[in-house]
Amino acid sequence: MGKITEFSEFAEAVKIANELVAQSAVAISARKMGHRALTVHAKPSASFAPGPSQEKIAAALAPNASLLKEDPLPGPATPIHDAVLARPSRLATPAPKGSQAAKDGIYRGDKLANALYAMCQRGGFSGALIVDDNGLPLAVHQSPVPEEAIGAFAIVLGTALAKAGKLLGQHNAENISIDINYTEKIVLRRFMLGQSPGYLLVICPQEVDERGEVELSIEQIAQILKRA
Amino acid sequence: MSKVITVSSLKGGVGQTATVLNLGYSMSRLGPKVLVIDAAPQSGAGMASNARQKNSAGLLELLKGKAKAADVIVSAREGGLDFLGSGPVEAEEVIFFEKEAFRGNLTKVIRSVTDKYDYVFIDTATGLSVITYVCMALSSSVIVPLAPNALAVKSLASMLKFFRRVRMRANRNLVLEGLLFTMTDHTSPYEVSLINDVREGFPPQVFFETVIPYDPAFEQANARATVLAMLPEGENAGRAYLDLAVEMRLREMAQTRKEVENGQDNGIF
Ligand SMILES: Nc1ncnc2c1ncn2[C@@H]1O[C@H](COP(=O)(O)OP(=O)(O)OP(=O)(O)O)[C@@H](O)[C@H]1O
Ligand SMILES: [Mg+2]
Repeated sequence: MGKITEFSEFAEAVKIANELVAQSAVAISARKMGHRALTVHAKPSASFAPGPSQEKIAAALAPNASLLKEDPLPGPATPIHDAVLARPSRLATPAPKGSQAAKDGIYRGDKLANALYAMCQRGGFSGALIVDDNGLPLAVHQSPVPEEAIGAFAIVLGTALAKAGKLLGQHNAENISIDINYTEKIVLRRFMLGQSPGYLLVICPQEVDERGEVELSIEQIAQILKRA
Repeated sequence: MSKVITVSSLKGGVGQTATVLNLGYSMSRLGPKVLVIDAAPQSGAGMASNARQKNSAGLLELLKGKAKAADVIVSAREGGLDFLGSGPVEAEEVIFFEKEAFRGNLTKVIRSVTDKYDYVFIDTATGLSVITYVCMALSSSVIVPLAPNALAVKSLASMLKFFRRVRMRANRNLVLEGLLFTMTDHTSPYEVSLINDVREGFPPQVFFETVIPYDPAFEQANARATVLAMLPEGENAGRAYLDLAVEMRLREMAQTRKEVENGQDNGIF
């Protein structure tokens, strides 16, 4: 049987750990040297890594059961909340121009803008754009910078994606994410508009995992563009 | 400033919840003011202690704006340790919970309660999820419990990648507090050599020196809805968590010394 340390997963984990240490991403150790090796014990009761605590501290432990105070704190009962059940489903998020959206003769740009608006609402994004492969915005919802600038930027990112296909052989790479400051990122998702690529750009907080919402919206956007 | 620590693992049943409760309790015995947050509605600290009987409301009610923090946080009998539960566990609530995490609201709610504490330990559900992501994104550090078996060790790379991703994308200050071997059986030569081999392969600071031994008393602690350290029969494993708390404090002291060494200190006061 191979040792666990000979598995490729182990080597990979060690490699990442070394990287993290180099980036000071690991809490510093109280000891300078490596760990004391453990030894096999006969009795299962003793802790086999005699740690740093002292009898005094151990004595501070109370031997009584039941963790929490006896008197319960007042708190609301727990009904099934109507509010949750009544939440609009993902695709039913109201459009900003509801009355207009009801009409049939809505413009493609409006539909796209509505889709972007709804996506931003659901995903907690701060803005979004759809750009064609000339860098022309087809629809915008709250762009933080001038549309022309971000349109051009989309082309730059789109080109980088195309390069990922060529240089790395990753022809399925469709996403690129770039942190634009300490809190926000721009994510570009490429999709096909007939023969040529189009791009969806999303501006959102870095802690948001945008992929699910973006994938949902891409389908919707593709539908709108197909029908137009 | 409070230190927020997410306890998280790819594999289930490895003692994430036990670690949050017992380490939280042990840390509070050393003096700091501690909050335990249960962000694992179906497998978390609320179930493993009597906190839920004391107050079934929690994060969920805060997310809905139906309660104030003071109404949902419960205090341990001995003081120094507070508990914020997840709230109800019905399926639709769990989905709501995830959505709120996705939207950033869980982050806001947790941030709004952590200030008063020296340490906050967050219990998360097994596996990688939006909830785990946002908990790590708002944390100072992460503890990863690890059972001493081949599969657990194999899953480590994925966990570290996830950690790295959160660090790169959402929280540049996030630190790996340590990997923690739990449920170890030191009468088993296989386990002992596995632990030694694995620890030897990694840079030393990645693993905690302290190891949490397997102890059937955990089951009794569950049955009595308390932490092991409070039970007479839980002395050993309970003691191990106390060792862990001390090890963490020692690490912090070492960190301070390092800062002084680098001239980043501003004197003792
Ligand atoms: N060191 C230990 N020795 C023996 N039993 C333990 C130990 N640590 C935890 N247990 C027990 O193992 C079971 C699983 O532990 P725990 O709930 O803490 O794991 P978890 O990782 O939080 O699991 P889940 O994936 O369900 O969230 C519990 O019954 C617990 O009491
Ligand atoms: Mg758990």
